Amino acid sequence: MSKALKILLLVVWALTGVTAHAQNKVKNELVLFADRDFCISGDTLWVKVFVPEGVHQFGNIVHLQLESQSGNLISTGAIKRGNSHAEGFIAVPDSLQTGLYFVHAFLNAQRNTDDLECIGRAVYVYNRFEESIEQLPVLRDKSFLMTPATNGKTVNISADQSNYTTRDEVKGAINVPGDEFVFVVASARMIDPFSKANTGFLNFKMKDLTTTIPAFTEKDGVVVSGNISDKASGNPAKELVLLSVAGNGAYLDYYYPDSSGVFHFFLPRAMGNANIILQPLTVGETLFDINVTPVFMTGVQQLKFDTTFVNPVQAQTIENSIKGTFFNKLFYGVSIRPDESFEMPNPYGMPFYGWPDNHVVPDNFIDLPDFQEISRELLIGLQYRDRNDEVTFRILNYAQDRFFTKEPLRLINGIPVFKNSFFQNLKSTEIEYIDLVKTERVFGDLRFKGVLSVALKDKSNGWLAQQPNIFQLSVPCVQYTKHVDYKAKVEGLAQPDTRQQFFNEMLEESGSWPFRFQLSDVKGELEIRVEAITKSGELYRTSKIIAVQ
Amino acid sequence: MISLLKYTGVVFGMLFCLTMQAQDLGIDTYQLNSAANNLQGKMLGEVHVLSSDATYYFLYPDDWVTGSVTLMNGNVYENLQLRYHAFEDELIAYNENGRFLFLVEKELVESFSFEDADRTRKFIRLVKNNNQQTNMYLEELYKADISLLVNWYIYEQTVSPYVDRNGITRAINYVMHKDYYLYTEKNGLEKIRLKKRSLFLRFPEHKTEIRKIIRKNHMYINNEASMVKVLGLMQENGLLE
Repeated sequence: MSKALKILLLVVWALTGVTAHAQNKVKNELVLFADRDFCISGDTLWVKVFVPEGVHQFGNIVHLQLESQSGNLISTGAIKRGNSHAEGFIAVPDSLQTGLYFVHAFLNAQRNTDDLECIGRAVYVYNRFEESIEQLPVLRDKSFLMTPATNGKTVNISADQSNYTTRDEVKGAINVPGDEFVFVVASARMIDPFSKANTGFLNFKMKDLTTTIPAFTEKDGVVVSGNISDKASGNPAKELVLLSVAGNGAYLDYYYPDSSGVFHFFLPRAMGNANIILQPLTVGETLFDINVTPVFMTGVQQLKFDTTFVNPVQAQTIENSIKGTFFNKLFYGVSIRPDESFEMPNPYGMPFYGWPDNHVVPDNFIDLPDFQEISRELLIGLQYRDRNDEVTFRILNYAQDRFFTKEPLRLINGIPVFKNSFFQNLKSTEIEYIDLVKTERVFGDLRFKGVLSVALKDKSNGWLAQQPNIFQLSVPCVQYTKHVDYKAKVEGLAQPDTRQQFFNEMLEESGSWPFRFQLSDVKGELEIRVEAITKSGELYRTSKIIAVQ
Repeated sequence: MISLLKYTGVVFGMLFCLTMQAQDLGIDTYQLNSAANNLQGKMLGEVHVLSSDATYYFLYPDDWVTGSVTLMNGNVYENLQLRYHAFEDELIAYNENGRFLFLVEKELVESFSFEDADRTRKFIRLVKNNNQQTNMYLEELYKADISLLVNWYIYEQTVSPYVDRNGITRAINYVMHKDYYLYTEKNGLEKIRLKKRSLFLRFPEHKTEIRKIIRKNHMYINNEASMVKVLGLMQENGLLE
């Protein structure tokens, strides 16, 4: 009896193990769908991320990241979630070497979650300058690749023909049965046999290697973290860190670092690439270093790799893809350029120092040669004193009808300035406007004895160059919504059309979805793929392969 | 004598350094600590010095109480020390870190609330009245299709000369008064008294039903609580729609 029980237990345990290993269930993980299984370096990888309702409490900003086999961060992106999903892209660097890479997603507030998992993707990247690719890395344990269910559901993909020639138009329909799926993505792509066989969904167990970034719930904005240290000793510093945003003169934030010198900021509703200015609140001789930590969670720590030879057919397909990309870039340029634009509405709806008591536009007056003249002629209530080449400012305190005994907060283009010499030589023709605040203002726990804010016409902040302890950094914030255009750009047969992807759309959970696209000059097998998540949380995939002659 | 001179020099030197640093920065930080790091955003305002009149007559409640402020951008700040300045219609907060008082930037406030004698008082900032811009704090007693709001205000009253607690002879007294209003976005503020007759005048079409409700529940409208209760029952019976 006891022997039978042991055998029974062993069988049950073995079955449980097998089920766990091959499981393809989505619980509360983000699931990432990519429009391709391989990229050529310099490409843009477009993704859609399913965000289950159970994690909506963790904010609406999904962080994407492209990671190398060794867990190095290659590229990131932050995209905003709609109702149940987020869409965006990751730029694959032009110089990225050939290899297997991983793209996955997470929400910052999940950072401290135990056993955090994400269903991401493995993709191959082929360097576009590679002459021949003979070997490629593969996952040692293929069971890490999740196997979506392929049967039991009735998604039907139909096309008007089974064989096509290049540049033909493909027409068809995808029929999704009702009440079975919560998320459906359909795509059409040329097949690269090697990447198709060796990539797919992976269940990443995420690890927080930075540990200093707080699990802050990001809603419509992103967290910026970093650390400040003494430049000479390298020891963490505890100086108050001020953050200004170039182009948004009415915004300021501060952070009092802990003993490890770590600071964090939240940029609300920041879209695009922010040009931020960080500086310690100090005027001494000590020099500081400020570094920003990328928002990052590694997911490939548990994976091991082998190298395998690429057979001649696979190598030919890869070579053709690389050549195709070369021609595509040559004729049509890159599909998406790095976007330098930035937008961040002021979260307070007013400058952080409140509405000014005086708003002076020097262009409305005669030209004045320096700031002393400007303050004398235009700035009532500002005292400018120049003694022994040392300039001091004092602002009239309206509430008490006398001048403050301390310097006001001085800003140039919204950036706090602690040296009055910056103002000395400003001509009125260089200034867009000057704001004066003649009360003692409060911003969080900081107090300002009046505010003198000068907005220059030149917003490049060139005056910051070579200034010690002021750090100008570009920080990617939430991506602007962009949609990839898979349509042919060619006019006539004289121009080559080397597209490998033809569409990538999210479908309604049920109904008939007609599609139509024009093939390119690329020959081979084309896959129309439908990937979905069922209501029971199962990953599902079905596809139709058609030949392009 | 020499050592005295040295010490004096050191003291002056330190004082000079402190003065220089304070002048150069233009930002007073006081005893900052990690509690100052609010990632959601910071409170904005203006440093405020209370007059003795304000301290004795204008602030409500009588002492600093714990409360919370909700800003128009959705940010909520809790565990603040608050008092309402009924004369100037301003919210005053006490910054424990810097030990100073400040007027919370009124334009940013959506509402604030504080505990007062075992009940929570919630004030909202009214920004629109009859399609006209306005900017005033009103206590919100009841909120549904129609809100019951209270305007607290203090007016000067001439009285016979008397000597106040500071030994100053005065001929003016300050009196706190409350006006009650029913508010809808469409009709704006409509003044009302805490009487059933006021309700009949405001809702003449439901006069019978209101009377029935009052009788059925054995109610007598003569204070805030009874008015709130009647409005609640009217809402339940669809009389406020």
